[in-house]
Amino acid sequence: MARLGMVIDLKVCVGCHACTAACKATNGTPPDIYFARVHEREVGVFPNARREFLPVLCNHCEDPPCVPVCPTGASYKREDGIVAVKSDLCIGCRSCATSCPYEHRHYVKPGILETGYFNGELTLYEKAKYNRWDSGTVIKCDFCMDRVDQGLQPACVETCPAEARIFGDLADPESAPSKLLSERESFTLLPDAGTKPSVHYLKA
Amino acid sequence: MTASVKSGTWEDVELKTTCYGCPAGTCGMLARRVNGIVVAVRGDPEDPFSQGKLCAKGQAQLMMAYSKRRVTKPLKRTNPEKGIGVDPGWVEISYDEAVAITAEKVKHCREVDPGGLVFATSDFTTLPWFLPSLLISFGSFNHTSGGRAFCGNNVHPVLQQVHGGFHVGPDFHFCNHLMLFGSNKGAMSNWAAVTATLEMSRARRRGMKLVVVDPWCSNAASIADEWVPIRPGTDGALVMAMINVMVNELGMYDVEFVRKLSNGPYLIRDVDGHYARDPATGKPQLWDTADQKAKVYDDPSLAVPALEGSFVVDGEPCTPSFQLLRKHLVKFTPESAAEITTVPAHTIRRLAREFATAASVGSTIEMDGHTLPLRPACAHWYKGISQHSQGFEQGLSIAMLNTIVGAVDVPGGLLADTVYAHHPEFAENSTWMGNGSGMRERDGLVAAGKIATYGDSFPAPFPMKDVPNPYNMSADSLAAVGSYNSGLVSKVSVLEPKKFNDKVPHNPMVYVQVVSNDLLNEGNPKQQADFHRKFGFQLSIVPNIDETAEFADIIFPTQTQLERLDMGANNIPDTMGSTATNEYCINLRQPVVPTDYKHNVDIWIDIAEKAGFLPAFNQTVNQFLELKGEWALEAGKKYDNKGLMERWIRSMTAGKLSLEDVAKEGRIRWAKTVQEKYPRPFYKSRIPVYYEYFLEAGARVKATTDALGMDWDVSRYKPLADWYPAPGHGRAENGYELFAVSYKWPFLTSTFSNFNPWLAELAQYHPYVGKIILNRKYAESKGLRDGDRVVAENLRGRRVEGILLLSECIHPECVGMDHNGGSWAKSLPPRRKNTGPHFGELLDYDMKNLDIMDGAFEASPKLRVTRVG
Repeated sequence: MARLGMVIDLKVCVGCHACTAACKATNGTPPDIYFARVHEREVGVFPNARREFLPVLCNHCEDPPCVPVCPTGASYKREDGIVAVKSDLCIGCRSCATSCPYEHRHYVKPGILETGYFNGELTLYEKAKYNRWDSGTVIKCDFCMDRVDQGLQPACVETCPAEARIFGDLADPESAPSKLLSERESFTLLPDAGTKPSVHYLKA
Repeated sequence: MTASVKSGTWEDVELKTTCYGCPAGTCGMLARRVNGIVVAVRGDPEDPFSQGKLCAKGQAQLMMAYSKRRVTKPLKRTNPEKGIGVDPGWVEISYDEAVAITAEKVKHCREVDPGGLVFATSDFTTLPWFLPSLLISFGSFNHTSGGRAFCGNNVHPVLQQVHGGFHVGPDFHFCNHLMLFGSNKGAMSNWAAVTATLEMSRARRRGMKLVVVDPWCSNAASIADEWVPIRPGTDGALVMAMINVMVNELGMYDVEFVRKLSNGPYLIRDVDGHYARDPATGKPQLWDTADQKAKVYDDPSLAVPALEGSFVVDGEPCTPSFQLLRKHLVKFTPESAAEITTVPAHTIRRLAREFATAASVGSTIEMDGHTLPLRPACAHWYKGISQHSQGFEQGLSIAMLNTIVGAVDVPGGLLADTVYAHHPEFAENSTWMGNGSGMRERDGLVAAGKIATYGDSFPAPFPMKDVPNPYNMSADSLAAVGSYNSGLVSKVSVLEPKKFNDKVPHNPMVYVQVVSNDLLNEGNPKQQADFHRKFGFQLSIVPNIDETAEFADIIFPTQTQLERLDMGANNIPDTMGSTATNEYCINLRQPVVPTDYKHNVDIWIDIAEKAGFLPAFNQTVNQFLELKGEWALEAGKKYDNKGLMERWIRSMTAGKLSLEDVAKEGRIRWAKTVQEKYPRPFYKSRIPVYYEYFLEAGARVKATTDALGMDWDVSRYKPLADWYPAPGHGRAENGYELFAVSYKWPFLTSTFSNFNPWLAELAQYHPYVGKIILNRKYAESKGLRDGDRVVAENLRGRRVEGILLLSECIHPECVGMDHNGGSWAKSLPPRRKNTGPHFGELLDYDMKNLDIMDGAFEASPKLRVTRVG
């Protein structure tokens, strides 16, 4: 059985936020909601210091704590490992958001789909895209599963100008991400949370 | 919800266009349109520039086309008072009325003094032909772009003299050791940023080492193998010390390259520093050690020219220029450079050894049957060097680092743009398809190729031109070895003409702004406001009313990227991106959404027609687009932008291709030959290490300025690159001990990204954007804390306020700010309004801040930072 996942190579990520914007543009997320973000922090002490970039998104965990806590079955995990939300079943209780140690579940506040980016006047683009979301529900990164089902890559992977993101089947040892994981030193975020993330980071 | 939308789908197509998220506008893009609305964009995988990738700015173009904050109707100012924060009292008028009002003003200007018109544009796609066509048909030479003074003033003229081209990039395919000086190349900035980032990523994965010299730990420095923090404005001293170590201590440099492809062996007369020229031909001479005779540089019998020694030619003692250089370098010891730069001497020696070792002098590579030198180490520099009043020679020094190891236009080295290009089929029709103009030479030295941006009407550093009296507000003619001058001179010449004895043109009548926002991205906005107030009439052609457009008398709304038709995004030969690729490519930007807005070219054509100078405009378009035969414009007819693009394509392809043909493919692309990508080994022209002609250039500038009674410093016109202190170097005055440094972010470009709510949102969440940044240890020694509200002020009391952020990632002598903040335009997204300090506030339009060699603007004033209250 497939287990879709992503490897992010921190050696080459330049912290440009192309992934963040591609996700926003492709998914049409409402204001202040980002499925893909890039964190930045400083490491070291001058002059042996640098800014470290850490792109984050839903980890599509093997043991996603957000799924069992959902009272309606809206949160679910597909057979290929993608964790997603059935919007029509979501009641907006936000148990999933509370359970996610990575803060990758986002509540669509009532009103925000009407407010948009221009204070109450939706653009043609926003009108076309916000249809996808329901007010008062929780939304999240789904690895662009509509695209993946068509054989495309997630938008953040496709656009990355540094080719820092590699997407594929972690269960297949011959896949591009699996090969990288066998060749390079890697880590996942918050391993102590026991969620077994499917997003891995190659050390710089 | 989702189901109901899908059931109504009557259109779902992907259309080819070209990005315009940054002024370079190089990246081929696919726009997915569903039911008439563009809902997603991606890089076009068939485009050699984007290769299927797009950056944040490109992705966010969706927000520009559909923005609710665009200016939608022509506007007329009703409040005659102009100023920052002053309500212009806009009233909507019809397009025809706006054209009529503007036409009357520009007609009057053209009749009275055409030199009273300034054209400011950052529309780089049309700039190479529209800028000169507009100006020359009008009779003005006043051209500028927002932030011009911080652009490539210290980059382009050096490249033109060393490579013959205007832009360069490292050969990421073969480079193993890249040094960046004040440059973020490969980290999503500079031109063709996506291409460079992609190529650098691949290069680093195969093991290329990256060393970044910068006072601020930029994005490039953050991923580098080594960040070398340096005192601002001292990179040239570091590099000269590295060259000294390589040449005089280690003996690790490319002797054969210096001998055969530089002017190192040219004989210099001890008496005056000029070439020893052959009396019969006037050609520079070299000393052939094979038969102990002086010979002209292109003498076919020339065998082994001397690089050292003393010779007597025609009774005059002479020395090879390379020996003069070696002697000149001696003063740049790593120890003295350490004092200047704060980089330890042992680090400088190590950097030199590593660079020289990586250059692997002597190694070769086989390519398509040719044996080429392989020099997999090179240095690149940009804005950080170009923001100093003494940056010109620092650019020369960094270029020399490449030259002495032979890493110029060879595999692994620094590669120039496409002045060597030629389309195998179409090159004869048009220089836009390349014509090998980079092969030009004078005195055996490489001469600047045709720079399409300025036609051949603007000064190139070499071959030397006359130095006429200043003919424009920026006194371009006085930048005798520069590529252009700057916004600094034009502002001083208008505001304080007496500084130039009234001899620099300064009759401000009409200011034409096409998406060029100098009030936000150049120097002090109060001085700029005074400048803009002096113009009797300002015309702004903009999609959003930015800070500069708030000074307009008439505003025309114009198109955004998704609405535009532009042939020649990333033009040959003045391309901004193709050094890293194996192909040449001219992209077509096609409209992908319907629009009522007009292209800025069409707006100007309407104005020119009404004002009665359309025939003149058509003639200059013929000249700059090189429209010939049946495709040439007739003087008496009116054409539109689309018609011009159609004729351009047909003329440069001798009728073989039409706009429709190119639209299908999205571009014209063709493979580079080995000679085009790596031209240096194929040409005999030499690279200067001794700029002999600077002596003549300085003398000409002095003669011109003396005759005009102008005070103009020519002391830096010296043949050997040197390092000079900037105004801020030396002892701190009254606690003003910090150098200002500025930077930009990979997701914000120029100032038009301020109007994009997505990019504004990214900025809002970014930890550094809009902050005043100090080194943690320094700040704590002064009792300053993270989050303090502080004031940064210069010696003149110019000040900005902001929130302090303490960092380990900045040189302790520096205070950092992005040069994109402090925006106040009424039409900005609220998220982006008044975010952080306006760096330009701290930069005074003062002649002491001018790089007199090339018009660069000193952007590292000394500052004092104190807590508010």
